[in-house]
Amino acid sequence: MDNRIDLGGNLSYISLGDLLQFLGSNGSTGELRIRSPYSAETGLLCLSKGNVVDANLGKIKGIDAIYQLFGWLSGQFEFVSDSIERVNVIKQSRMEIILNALRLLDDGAIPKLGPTTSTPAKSKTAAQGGDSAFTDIIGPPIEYMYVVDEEEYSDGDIIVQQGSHGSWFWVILEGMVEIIKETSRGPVHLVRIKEGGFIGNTSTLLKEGIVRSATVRAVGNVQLGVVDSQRLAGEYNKLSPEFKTLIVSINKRLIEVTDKTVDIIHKVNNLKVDPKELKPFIKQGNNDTQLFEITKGAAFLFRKPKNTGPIYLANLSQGDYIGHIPFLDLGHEPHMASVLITKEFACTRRDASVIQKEYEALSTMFKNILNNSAACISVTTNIACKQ
Amino acid sequence: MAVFNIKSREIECKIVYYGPGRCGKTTNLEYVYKVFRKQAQGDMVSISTEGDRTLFFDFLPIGLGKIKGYDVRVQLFTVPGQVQYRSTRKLVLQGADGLIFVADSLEDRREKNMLSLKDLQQNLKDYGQNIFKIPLVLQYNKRDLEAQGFSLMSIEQMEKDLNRQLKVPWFAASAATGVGVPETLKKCLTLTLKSLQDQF
Repeated sequence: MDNRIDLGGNLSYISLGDLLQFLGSNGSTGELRIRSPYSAETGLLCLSKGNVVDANLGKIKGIDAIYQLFGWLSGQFEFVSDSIERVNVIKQSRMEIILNALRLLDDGAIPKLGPTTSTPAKSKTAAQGGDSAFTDIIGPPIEYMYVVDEEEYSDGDIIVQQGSHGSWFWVILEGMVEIIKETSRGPVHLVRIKEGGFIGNTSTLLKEGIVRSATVRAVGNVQLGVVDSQRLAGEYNKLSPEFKTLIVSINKRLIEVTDKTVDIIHKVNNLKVDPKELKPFIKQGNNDTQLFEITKGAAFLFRKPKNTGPIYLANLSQGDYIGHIPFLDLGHEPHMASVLITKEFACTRRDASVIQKEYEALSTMFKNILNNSAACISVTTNIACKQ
Repeated sequence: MAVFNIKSREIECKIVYYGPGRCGKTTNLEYVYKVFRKQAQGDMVSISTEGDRTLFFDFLPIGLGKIKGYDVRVQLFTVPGQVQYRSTRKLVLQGADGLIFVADSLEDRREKNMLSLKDLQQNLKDYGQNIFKIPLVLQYNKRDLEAQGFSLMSIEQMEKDLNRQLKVPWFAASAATGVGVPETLKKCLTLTLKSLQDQF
């Protein structure tokens, strides 16, 4: 096979719909391959005289594979003009495929795959199937200024052992790691994190020798950058008490959501209170932009997916933030989850715009770390809801 | 943005029907597809979107001449008005070469018409187009309903509401019976081809 490419580019510049129209009006015959850093699978579309006749994406075949690919907001594509010997698996016309796919995308029936910060939370509701291809997290471009040392690991190496103490904080320079939660019923594989993503969370900046909440293992060869935690800690120390509390709260929420997800995978009923004794505080789908800090009592976070009952995601308590965080997409309340509270619950309102201003003044590295935590929460929540 | 297809020596351009929900965009297109069946190429694609439908088919206008020796092929679209159908709207509107705005003559749809036209202007702006520059035709639809006792806005009022600044060609129509439908499309095609000729 030769490496000739007749047309190549990125989907973030020309969308799949536009690309198919272009290849269509050209009457092109050949193979279109699409790769995304967010997916382990490569998409393949076979075109004959401008019409898509077959497609696959990992195990997904035919028209469904094309629909999934419409959710890829970024990714490299390559078209190679070649004779195609395939039966027409796909019968729909070009424009029918495009218009239908876009409708499904806008209806939220196709999961969007792309930079986590720009994906509206709404689109994540309908993520379908349990394919691991949709649970990878990739980070933003790496800030090498913060990398003080490099380390290499081979496939299968344990980078962090759950339960051990450690305060190192890494950024993935190359390769992929897997986050595994060790439980009494065996290890649970949660998410995979790729280039630009982080290992460790901001709580490692707060105190020395924190207990690791999960195991991290190399998948293939991995190159890690040790992050200058002193520099980050310096930045952290200058933050307002409210912002520090918010960071702690986000970390706590990630650990909570991870624990609850593991319980759901093991089919353990983990809600220790009677739901009838709780009253609603924030309703899912709400557009409310208020932000609160819990001062007393407890709050319980639920997501209600379309086809099943509510899923219990986290137990939040004093010091935790609930409500709308304008700069972070956790995939939770108010759009994607509800908050129920106990009788004793009390909270104070926090000015989201003040906190947002503080966020905007943060270094890119610090923002990236917070976004990484948010992406982990969002992706882990989706795993919980897919069970 | 029209596409020149060197291989087939065709210019492919796009005309989009826009307007508030239930104003008769799809009825317009269905009529064109039915009556000018011989000029339509391939099947009509119909996608059900919430509260509306998105239609598409290829159309070969006859008797409108060629551009620089190229045949002209027109893609006719309707676009769903609902806010959530962002991706569809973008794909359809982004490269539109000509537009037909279908307004509903029913009195109680007055505000909906104006909002939809404003929407169109904003959407075009988002995709780098200008409503004052793109070939545009207005259609005041459902004129036949007056005979059935519905109260309609007068043409003068609709002109004042929608066309005061635009000053584009307009047609009174009744898409259900076909009155005014070919005229609207023909005018839009003529304007579009003229604009393409000026561009290239």
